[in-house]
Amino acid sequence: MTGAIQEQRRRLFLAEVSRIVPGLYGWLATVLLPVLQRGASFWSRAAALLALAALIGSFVLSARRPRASRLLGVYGFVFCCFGTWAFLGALLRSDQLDAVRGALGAVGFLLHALAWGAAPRDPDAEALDNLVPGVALQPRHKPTRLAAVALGVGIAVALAPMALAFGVDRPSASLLAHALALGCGVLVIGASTDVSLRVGKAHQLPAWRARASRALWPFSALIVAVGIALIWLALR
Amino acid sequence: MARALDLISVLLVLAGGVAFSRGVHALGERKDLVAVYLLIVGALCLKAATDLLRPKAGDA
Repeated sequence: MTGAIQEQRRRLFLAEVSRIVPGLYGWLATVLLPVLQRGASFWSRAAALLALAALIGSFVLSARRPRASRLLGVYGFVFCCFGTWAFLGALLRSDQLDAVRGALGAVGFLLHALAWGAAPRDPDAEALDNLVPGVALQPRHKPTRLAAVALGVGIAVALAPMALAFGVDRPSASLLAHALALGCGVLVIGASTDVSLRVGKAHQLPAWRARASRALWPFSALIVAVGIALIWLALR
Repeated sequence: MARALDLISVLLVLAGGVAFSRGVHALGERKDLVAVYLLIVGALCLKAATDLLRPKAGDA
């Protein structure tokens, strides 16, 4: 019995270690090496250290405080990495980066996201069932034609920003354009997947008035944004 | 009416993607303010599209 418990603890420990290893690799490749360059600012180095501290903290707290561990491992770590890159400034220009190292670091961050997106491996998983906040998962259903159209439209328009990013020839903005295009593509694919999974399921959704009211604030913000654009165009 | 909202969601995804594309294109044309504006509009379109179809936590 004691042996079984020890084996289970060992597996949990290895699972938690494997959760932070990809992030650690991404940090080494894309955060630590740039901040070790001559001329890196104090704040970039401080942010890099904070990112490492957040990752280690997520590992230490994983057993006792899973929510705090998740906040540190996902939001704290990524926010501090972004802070490091922002403080690096000109040292992070596209002509000063090692493309292979950057690509390998990006794979590390991809695996980091997948590791934190995986379900908890705790044996008391039922107790942690609400670890990731959100609505319950929906059962499968036969997709409608509109769902296929939504997914197709999403994939097609998600590719457009990535192609257009190659047209940005400013050295100071080309890397930003590619990063933005990648982020935009991920957002569009995610939204189109969400839409395609839910269209045609009216019987499982609230009435149309409730649905419309749920989208009230983004619609209001859209109307305000369009109004500002019209005023700006009229004043030009 | 529910069918129309489904269609609006798909159109909003399309609008969001087009706004993002135009935003990245504007970045290449050194129109940084227009790029930021279009990226915000694109994000709002996607948010509206998903909120139209997402049930409340207790509805699922």
